[in-house]
Amino acid sequence: MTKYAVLSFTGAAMVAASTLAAEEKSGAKPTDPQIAMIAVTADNVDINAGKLASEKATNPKVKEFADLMVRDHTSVNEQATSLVKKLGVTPEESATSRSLQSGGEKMMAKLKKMSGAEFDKAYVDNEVSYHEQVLAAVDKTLIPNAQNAELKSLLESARPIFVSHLDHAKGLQSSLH
Amino acid sequence: MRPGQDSLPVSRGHTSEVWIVSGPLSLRALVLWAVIIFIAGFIHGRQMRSLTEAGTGQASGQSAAAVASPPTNSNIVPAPSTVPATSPARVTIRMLKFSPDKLEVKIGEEVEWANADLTPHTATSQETSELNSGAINAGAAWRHTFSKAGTFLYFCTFHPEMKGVVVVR
Repeated sequence: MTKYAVLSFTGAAMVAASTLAAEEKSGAKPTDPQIAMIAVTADNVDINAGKLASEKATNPKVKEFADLMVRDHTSVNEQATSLVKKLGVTPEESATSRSLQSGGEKMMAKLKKMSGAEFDKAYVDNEVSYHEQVLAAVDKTLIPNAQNAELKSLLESARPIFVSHLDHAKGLQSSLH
Repeated sequence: MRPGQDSLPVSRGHTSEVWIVSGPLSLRALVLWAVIIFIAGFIHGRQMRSLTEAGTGQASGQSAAAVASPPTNSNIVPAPSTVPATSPARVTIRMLKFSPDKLEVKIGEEVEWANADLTPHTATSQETSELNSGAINAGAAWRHTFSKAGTFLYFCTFHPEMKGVVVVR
């Protein structure tokens, strides 16, 4: 794959994640059921990419990172799902959650065509941009608009995890370039 | 003082006087009375102190709970700062932090790592094999009893930026 193609792939992944920021700019405020769906979808997108990377990554550190993404985001999703059930909230789709879902699928399709070091690099690049965008959305949109205290607390508790993942991904990224 | 008697009056309340005969016996009598007065004062002092302590709950060396109960040894409870033998020292894991990140315990004491975070974590020794929790899932806990003294640095293998230390004395 050419350098242009890699950039194109990374750009496509960012488009999906940046939908969160775009919605924030448009002034649309998500409701709690929409926030719940966005959080679960964002987790699922990263879990799916992590599972693929766990199978395909050749660099042991990249594989270790992918396993961490699967483990952590699965656990966060379990806590989120448990809270949603407890609160009796039915997660609701929104333009953001749909965009995240479709963007994640496109990203997976592109990753599946790669292999070796190229795959490792593309996966890690995507993880950096994805976590940056998700973190920005958590700070600017999801936490400020969450009305339920427990939902807000869950998002606040998840934030340091996303920061840790971003730092980890950036460290990997610099070691691969 | 009665005429003809070389005696000293000694007060005994407000209603009467005791006259001590002067002469060879006066010194012994004086000593005897001094002893009696001393013993009486000692007993009275103890009674007053007991009443004061029972009324204010300020008995030294006892908790308020012990004072509130009848003053028998069977009701003495440990001071509030004493950790019961059945409750281990606890490190809570929340938002990618061990809290407290430094813990001091005694040899033979048990420590519990309670994971109140959203993701699994570990408590793993950095330089020894003392701690090796494996994954502690969200909402779960892991306990370890320290059988030797030392300073045990540990971290989370999943999130290496998470660090803590247990000092065993």
